[in-house]
Amino acid sequence: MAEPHEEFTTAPLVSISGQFALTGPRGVPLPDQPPSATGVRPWGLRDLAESDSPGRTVLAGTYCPVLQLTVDPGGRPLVDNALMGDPTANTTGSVDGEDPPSSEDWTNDYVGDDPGLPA
Amino acid sequence: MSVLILAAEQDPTADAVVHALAEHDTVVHRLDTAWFPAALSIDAELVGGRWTGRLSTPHRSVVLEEVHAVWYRSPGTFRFPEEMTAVERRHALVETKLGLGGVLTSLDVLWVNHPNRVADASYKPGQLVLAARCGLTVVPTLITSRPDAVRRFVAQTDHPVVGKMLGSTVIGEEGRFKAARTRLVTGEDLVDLTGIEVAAHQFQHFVAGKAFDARVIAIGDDLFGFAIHATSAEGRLDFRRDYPGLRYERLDVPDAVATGIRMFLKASGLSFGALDFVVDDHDGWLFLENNPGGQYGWVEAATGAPLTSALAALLVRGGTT
Repeated sequence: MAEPHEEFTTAPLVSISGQFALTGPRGVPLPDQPPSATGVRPWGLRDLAESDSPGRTVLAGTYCPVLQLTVDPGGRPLVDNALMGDPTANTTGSVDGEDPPSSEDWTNDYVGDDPGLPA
Repeated sequence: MSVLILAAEQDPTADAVVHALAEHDTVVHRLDTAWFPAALSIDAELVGGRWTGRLSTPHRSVVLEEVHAVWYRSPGTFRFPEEMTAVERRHALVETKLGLGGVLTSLDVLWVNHPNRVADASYKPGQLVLAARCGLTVVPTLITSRPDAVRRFVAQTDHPVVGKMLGSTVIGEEGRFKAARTRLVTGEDLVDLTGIEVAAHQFQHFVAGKAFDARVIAIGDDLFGFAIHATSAEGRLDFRRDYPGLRYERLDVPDAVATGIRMFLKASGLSFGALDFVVDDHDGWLFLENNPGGQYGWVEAATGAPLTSALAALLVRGGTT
């Protein structure tokens, strides 16, 4: 039997509202396991494409907690130059420093339901 | 009064809204829950049946009772010390989710959107039922884990049938991202449907007379319609397959569809939505899905529609969801 906290986070039919912070931890390496053999792998995962959108690069910058905006090394907000990624593209945001990691990928148009283990 | 924005640090869409809110006489607090506990703390006390107190960062203090609107834009999960054991981290996650998350989600203010309503709205089969109840036309859909049901669904229609994900269309595997797109079910597929039986799968009729895709961005009661014209066969099947080949234009939302959308969002408890439709060659609008956390910056950039300013104005007005 699962521990109560496991039931809380993994019960299959309850609302995922159990998960308050809806996005996963950032900077976590992608799983490196290869696909399972035919018969185990879900049909819906057949013929997956590599990233088939060019995406767009988000301008590099750091978060300014005073302005509450991303700024360039000179402290100027990048908001007027920011490029919006395609809605389901994997975009890459490059930022300086360690928090968040120096490079991270995310999917734009989806709010995930499982934050996984906290980073 | 203040607007609370819960968003990641690196989010140009959130930047744009913060920038737009600067034109209003409203205090704006932007936080990322991923700052907890290193750079974010909570001190909340139940007084008179409501939560009072503060969220604090090294740079600002958010008075809970002064918050009149919250924009919940995919903030990150909490980041606990690496020195914690897995058990300790799980404990800290659950306690913080129920504590900090519980205090915030109990704020009786305008939410764009309340995370629990977003979570409920993630169930697309439920969306289809609700959309139909609200007078929107929905596409015949099958959810199944049975290969014979797929063959039956295909055999009983003259329409092409497509397979579509119910959740995320992007997975991480073999150290890289892979994308699943809407795909036609072919005769070859019907011969070998191995793998259908290990998960639930969604299939829908593909609208044979499809003229173009439409996305409606709903911000409060304001609806902004956009036509997405694909120029390739791949893009017509799924516009995400061919972004470079897309053309966008503003689009009036028919009154009956607008009424249905507003009913749908009200019933869902949502004040924002990114709704996808197919428009057929008889000007019929067929509802596909609503993404309560959907992006809008790319259509704003392509068309000049004032989405950011509309969202900022909604947050300034506040109210309840």
